[in-house]
Amino acid sequence: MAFLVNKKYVIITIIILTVSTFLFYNSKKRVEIYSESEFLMDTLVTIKVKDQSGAKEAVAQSFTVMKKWAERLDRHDENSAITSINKYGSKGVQVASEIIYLFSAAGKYYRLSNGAFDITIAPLLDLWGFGQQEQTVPLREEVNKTLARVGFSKLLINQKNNFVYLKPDMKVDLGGMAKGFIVDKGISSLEDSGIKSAFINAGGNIRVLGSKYTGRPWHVGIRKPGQEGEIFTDYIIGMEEGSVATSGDYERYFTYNGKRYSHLLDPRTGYQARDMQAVTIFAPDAFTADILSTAIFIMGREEGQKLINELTGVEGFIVRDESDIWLSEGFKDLVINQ
Amino acid sequence: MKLMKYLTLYDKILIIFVIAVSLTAIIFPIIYQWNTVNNKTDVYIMIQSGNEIVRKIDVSRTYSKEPTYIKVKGPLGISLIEAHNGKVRLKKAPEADPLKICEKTGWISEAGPRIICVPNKITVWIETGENDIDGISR
Repeated sequence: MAFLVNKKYVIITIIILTVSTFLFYNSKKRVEIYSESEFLMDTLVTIKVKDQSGAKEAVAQSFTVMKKWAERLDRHDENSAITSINKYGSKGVQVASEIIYLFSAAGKYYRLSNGAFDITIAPLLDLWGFGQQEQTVPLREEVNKTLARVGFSKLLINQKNNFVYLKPDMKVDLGGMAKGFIVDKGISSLEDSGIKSAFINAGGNIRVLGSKYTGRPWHVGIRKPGQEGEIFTDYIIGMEEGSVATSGDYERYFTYNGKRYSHLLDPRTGYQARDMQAVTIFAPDAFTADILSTAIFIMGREEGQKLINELTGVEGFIVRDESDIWLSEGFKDLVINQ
Repeated sequence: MKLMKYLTLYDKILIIFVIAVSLTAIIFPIIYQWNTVNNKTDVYIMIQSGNEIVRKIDVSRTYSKEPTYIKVKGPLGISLIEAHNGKVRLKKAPEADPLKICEKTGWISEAGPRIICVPNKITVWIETGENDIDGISR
């Protein structure tokens, strides 16, 4: 008596084994990635997509879309929508519905953060010299005087006819939200071009679309506040969807009399928020992650932790210093090497 | 050897095939891992100026007594890049660069972190065949 006498069984078994082995290795196979980087929004923007037919054109189109939005939202660009609002806002300026959407979202997060996130912060940034060649530590009287020109509650949005009104001498700056919004636009453009696996990194504002390849999420490191070029090696996160953004006091700053002054100003006091060194936020989209990383940095750890826990789909990683790190429960699940 | 008497030709074919598949499943990942660990030539220092990659240097060539210096021109002037013993740094930014943040970055020696000079539009990073880190949130 034989184990398997039938020729048919042998052939079927061999076919099944061959196909399953092929499928197993094919699923683990590394795919080629097409990557392009360009300087945009005062930072390096990198797009990575699965190298497939049409990938180059899709990436070029995504950069075109992002550039267009970067110009429209830059208050230092003479022809931008934001410049028009800052120049003529006291009479009212009619803008595109996307700008109204941005301003409405700014209002929502202004309220959620108890005023810590405020796009009317522009006069304060100008007073300190951020975005200009020279930075200075202003006198307290100057800060107090400038604070009178800051406050989202003084801004008016008419959603019926898309008008924005500012009080005289007020200005808006979308620095705390534009990058995220533009990254989302870049991802949407890639999706429209048929891309299913993508990664955009705009100076640390990262959003992914799908996994890098089957069984391998996109791996993202978080910068250590003290050391440029170093990351928290114990907290590398894996992403197959969503976005991360980090706000830290080390990105844009100047030093005066041995003290560091970062661009992350509290719009309620006019001075730097100093409760922590960095905040990293995971959110479903880059726009939300960008806003919340700024807002929570300014709110401080206690209030920030509370807000992170309240918001659905939002996770946080807060660094007071390297020995004092807090992660939300959901953020721990993102970490791949713990 | 008694067993052999009971096996048909097709039994033997099937047994040989199953053994071959099993060995492949064990040996293939070991060979792949071995190549990944030892394949030093798959690591490069990449230098980008503006939107263009201007230099790609095999890291194995930086292991020498003397460092390798590369001058790269950007809109503000010349940036001096130093590569030595598997590491790279931006040694000197142009005088016109107001903050010289890229100089302060110091050495990088692995894939992941990047040295980014926004004013002079120069970026330096290390690239491997399969980066563990796809990007850094900063």
